[in-house]
Amino acid sequence: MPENASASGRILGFVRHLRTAEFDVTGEDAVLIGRALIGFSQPDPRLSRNACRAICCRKREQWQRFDELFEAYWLRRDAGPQDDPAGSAEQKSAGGTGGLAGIGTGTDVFDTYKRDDAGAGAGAGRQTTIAKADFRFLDNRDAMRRVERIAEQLASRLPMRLGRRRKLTTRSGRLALGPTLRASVRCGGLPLDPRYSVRRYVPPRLVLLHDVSHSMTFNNPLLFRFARGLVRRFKTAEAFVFHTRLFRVTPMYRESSLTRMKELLEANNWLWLGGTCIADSLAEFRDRFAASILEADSILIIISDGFDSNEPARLVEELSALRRRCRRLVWLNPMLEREGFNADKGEVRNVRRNVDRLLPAHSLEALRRCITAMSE
Amino acid sequence: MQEKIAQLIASLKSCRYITDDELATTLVLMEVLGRPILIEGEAGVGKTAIAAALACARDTQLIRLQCYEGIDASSAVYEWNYTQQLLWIKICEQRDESVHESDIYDQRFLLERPLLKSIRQDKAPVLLIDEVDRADEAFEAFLLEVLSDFSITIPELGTLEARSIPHVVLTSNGTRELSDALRRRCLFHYVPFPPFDKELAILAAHLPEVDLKLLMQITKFVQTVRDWDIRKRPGVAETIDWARALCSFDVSLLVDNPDIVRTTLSCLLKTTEDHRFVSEQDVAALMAKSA
Repeated sequence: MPENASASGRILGFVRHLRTAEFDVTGEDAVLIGRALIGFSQPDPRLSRNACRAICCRKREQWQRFDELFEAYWLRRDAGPQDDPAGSAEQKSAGGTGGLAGIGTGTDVFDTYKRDDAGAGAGAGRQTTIAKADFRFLDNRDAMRRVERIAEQLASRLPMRLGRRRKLTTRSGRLALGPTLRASVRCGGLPLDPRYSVRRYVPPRLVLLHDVSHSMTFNNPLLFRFARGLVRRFKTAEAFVFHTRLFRVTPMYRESSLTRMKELLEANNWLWLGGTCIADSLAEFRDRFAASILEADSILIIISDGFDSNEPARLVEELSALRRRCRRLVWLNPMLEREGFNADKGEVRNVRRNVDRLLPAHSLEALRRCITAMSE
Repeated sequence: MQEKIAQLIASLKSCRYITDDELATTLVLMEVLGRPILIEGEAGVGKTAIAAALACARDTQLIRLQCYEGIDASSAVYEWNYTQQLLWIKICEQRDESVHESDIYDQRFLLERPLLKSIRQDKAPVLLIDEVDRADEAFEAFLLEVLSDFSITIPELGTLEARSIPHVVLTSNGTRELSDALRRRCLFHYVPFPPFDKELAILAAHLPEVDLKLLMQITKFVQTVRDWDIRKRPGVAETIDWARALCSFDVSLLVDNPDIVRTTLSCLLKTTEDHRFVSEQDVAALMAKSA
């Protein structure tokens, strides 16, 4: 039926829209959305949104971003992934606000939603865009691999930490009473096969906050590779980029195919735009991610030149708040040892006072020194 | 669906669980689509209580599997009662009876653990797999297999099919990243700290005998404490504990009892750092603000 085909097309368009925003939504989820929406006897936008959210979200961050994306798709509000030309085309062909005519009662659920919520905040985002980032440097595979390999080698120098979890062994360590008793049942109750447990060594938990604003364009090819090397080396590492807003990019950095990663970054080029609000971005990180990602033994690395449009006092406030929540706060500044950069200015002094280490990061040699300093 | 959601909200309320349509929609979907639900949120916001309340609302059994480091299939699914088997063999030997393998591996020697127990119920129970993030990756993979087909194979007995499909509720505190495979198979719900009105309603439901004015002050106080930059923000469970503690001291208004408020703050602040962070002046200012 054409009506049904259109409705399913709209659901699929929504699924694609979510995928461009890093949601891992499968075809099965699209079917579940359809099944859930069929169940509503009356069109109810709020409940429809709740149902879609329960099906499509996998993590807290996605849960928190979902409303914005939902509204962006069904209400044509301005949000990142909608800049994607394919997504826009999909929406246009789907009749703009989508609408699930033919599903359930045959009433257009999302058009109702639009009417209910008309005029509630349509408009441009707050990004101040000058130009999109240039990822041509990613074409040079040799350079990429070289720097990544060095980054991985450097990263392996970071000392492992003793984890809380224990693993069973048959030799040495603390006697594990439960497993020993269980194993002894086979031998008629005699503990002939004692089991032990030892604490595991686990890699340091790294969290990278990478400034990708325009002032960093010159430095980013090297630092981008370095960050990717660190993220790929440690399974628990997390990476975020920021300019005026903050975005999680860990899955993109972990992508093994360079071509695929480049495609992903270019498809999400809306991430890499305009101005710099470091304090705002750090506050966003603290509000949205710190509770789930930052642990007492985490090493938080901020990669930025420090050019900020926020008030210096706010940056100091955010840094001191973050410093309290991690083991070490390290700021890598690619401008520090460059000619003409005054490292004794007020802003840099403020940063120096509120981080554990402020280190230059303009060359491979400087990055090598960074790793040595971090492993101390 | 709307009626089901409204009914569930009312049933949960009668079981003293105050919820909104977000969670109720997810729970109804769980039943309609037959999918497990993964609930995440800060400690003490009522994740585990959801399963208990759902069991109460559906008038069914709650079966709980508490995950911990090193949990294995024998603690979660089934175990043979080796002691009784050995005794049975001894008795048979004394009676000069021959012992067959089928006699030893009989259902009477089978100790049902939560996963097996949950699929052997006639009425679908609520299976709570609590703090799944504490279990190892290997156990998580095993759990995936059980949750996908709801049948358990015991080599000695064969495959046991589910008599009823349990309503599975998994909770996680985020101490470890769960696998994508597990997340993909579940509906997801995040339980944030409740807003003022909801927290007040929860308190009123749990402590109906307490004056509403005091409950409002307590709620306001806790909501502000949550906004502070402290390491462990108090959950709803802590709020209820604190309210109970204050009631046990016969406190009627916070401002009139500053000493009791200070001494009972340990119900809300759970780390030394947080105690150091919150000064007496902060508490005094907050009491005045909450009044």
